[in-house]
Amino acid sequence: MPDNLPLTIRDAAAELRAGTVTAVALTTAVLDTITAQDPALGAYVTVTAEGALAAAAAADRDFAAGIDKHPLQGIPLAVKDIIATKDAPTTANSRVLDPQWGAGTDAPVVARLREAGGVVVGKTTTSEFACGLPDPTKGFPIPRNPWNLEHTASGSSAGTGIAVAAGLALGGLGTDTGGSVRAPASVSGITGLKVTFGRVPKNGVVPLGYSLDSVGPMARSAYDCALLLEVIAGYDAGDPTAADVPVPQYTSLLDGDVTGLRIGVPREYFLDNPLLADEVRDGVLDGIAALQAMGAEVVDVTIPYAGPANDANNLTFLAEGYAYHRADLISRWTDYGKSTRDVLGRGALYTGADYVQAQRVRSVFRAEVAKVMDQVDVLITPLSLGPVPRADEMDMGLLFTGASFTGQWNLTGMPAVSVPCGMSANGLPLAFQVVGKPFAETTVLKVADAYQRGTDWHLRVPTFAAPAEAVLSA
Amino acid sequence: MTSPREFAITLLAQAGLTIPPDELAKLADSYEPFRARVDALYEIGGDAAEPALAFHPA
Repeated sequence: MPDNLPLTIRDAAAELRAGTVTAVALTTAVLDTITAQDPALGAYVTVTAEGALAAAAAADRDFAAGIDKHPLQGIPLAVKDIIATKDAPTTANSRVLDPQWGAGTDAPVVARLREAGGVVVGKTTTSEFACGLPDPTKGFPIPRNPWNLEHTASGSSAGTGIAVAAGLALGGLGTDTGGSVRAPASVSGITGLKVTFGRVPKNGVVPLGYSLDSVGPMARSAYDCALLLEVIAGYDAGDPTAADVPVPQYTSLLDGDVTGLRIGVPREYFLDNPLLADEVRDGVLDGIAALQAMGAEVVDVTIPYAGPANDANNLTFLAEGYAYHRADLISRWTDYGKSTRDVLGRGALYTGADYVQAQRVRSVFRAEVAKVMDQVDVLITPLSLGPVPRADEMDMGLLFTGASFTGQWNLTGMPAVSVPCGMSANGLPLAFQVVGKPFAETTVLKVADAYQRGTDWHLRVPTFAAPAEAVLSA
Repeated sequence: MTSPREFAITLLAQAGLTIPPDELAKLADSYEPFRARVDALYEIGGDAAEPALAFHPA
């Protein structure tokens, strides 16, 4: 990314208000960076340059007229390509989705970004229908990790993660059904927030698991995620699962003070997992120690049924996803990508009773976790078992037979943020996860923000390419 | 006795899915390990456990 491109939304917003850069110049620099780098990175399915430059010009006119809607005004943003935008098709990276799906409409989350003055620069790559691995035979860009192109950019919100990390946007939106905001954020070295279920409306978003899906912000910092969240959060009558809960001004509550805040550290299944790589464990423990040094209290806790809860989450998304895709799987099996159909087809193998039992486990697990959360303010866990793997080592089968630290929180619906906390021996980002009580996004962001005030892992940028032609000029 | 693999192939056929043989074999082989995990879910909660059909966590 260009050296003179602001790293964070917060910095860019300050520069826009100081007059040291215009929204048009900022957007042009981002578009130039996309042109130069995206052929290698595969972050975007569609770039909406004309609309972005028009929105940037409108933001500049507003600044000139003294109109300041929100810090997102004039900020280039990326939107995962399962979310409807009125100026670009929504593909879900699939040959199966009706090309007219969502045509001409903005999902409420996108409309809110635009109303705040945000500049949508394009639609970012996703795993097909938010599940599976990229299939090179289907004609969509293959997302590549900006830290090492041979390694996975994870999924499903891979494009937004890449875009933010490499300066192809300053922030954006992903969706999370079992870790799909947090995992791609973590492998690209940025911050990603899975919100409380219902916190952000998800109408206008192609579903995967109806009872698990959420739309969440992805950005360099927790502060930037808070900026995005305070715009996209809030009730919408078009989403029957949206929660009518007041939206705080999240950024005003990030004061860096974690004194007395109680951090629960689950050992069993999480930090004591025999499959957990030492360098991941060390990174997480270093993060916890840093927060403890800031005044947080750390206590060991036990989360019962963590493994079965992840299984219940997988079974739930298989069943709910199969219900959505059944007709197309029957009639158009090979139109789906190979990995996608391998995952979605598994939904045919389980029964209605299995699904109901998963929901019974869900209620048991929620109750057990609630007891733990009565004793602590947040949990901190690893985000992944090991360092970022090579793309050719990825195996979706492991999703169903391995251990995972993310799906549990989709099952409970609780908020969880992925926070960069180091670099592995193979030169790729490491991350930990902060999990909070329902609708306590402020608390998880506060912990992440406090950590990021004392560290710079989230500000590190991949150095694989720095095209000279992408130069920011005011 | 029908093997888990054969049972999975039957389920996929009953679902109306037309799957190339190599993929069918892989999908069928994936059945038993996760089936065991799903079966283990029935050991949790006891008779009193009610399904969480209200999705909001609070």
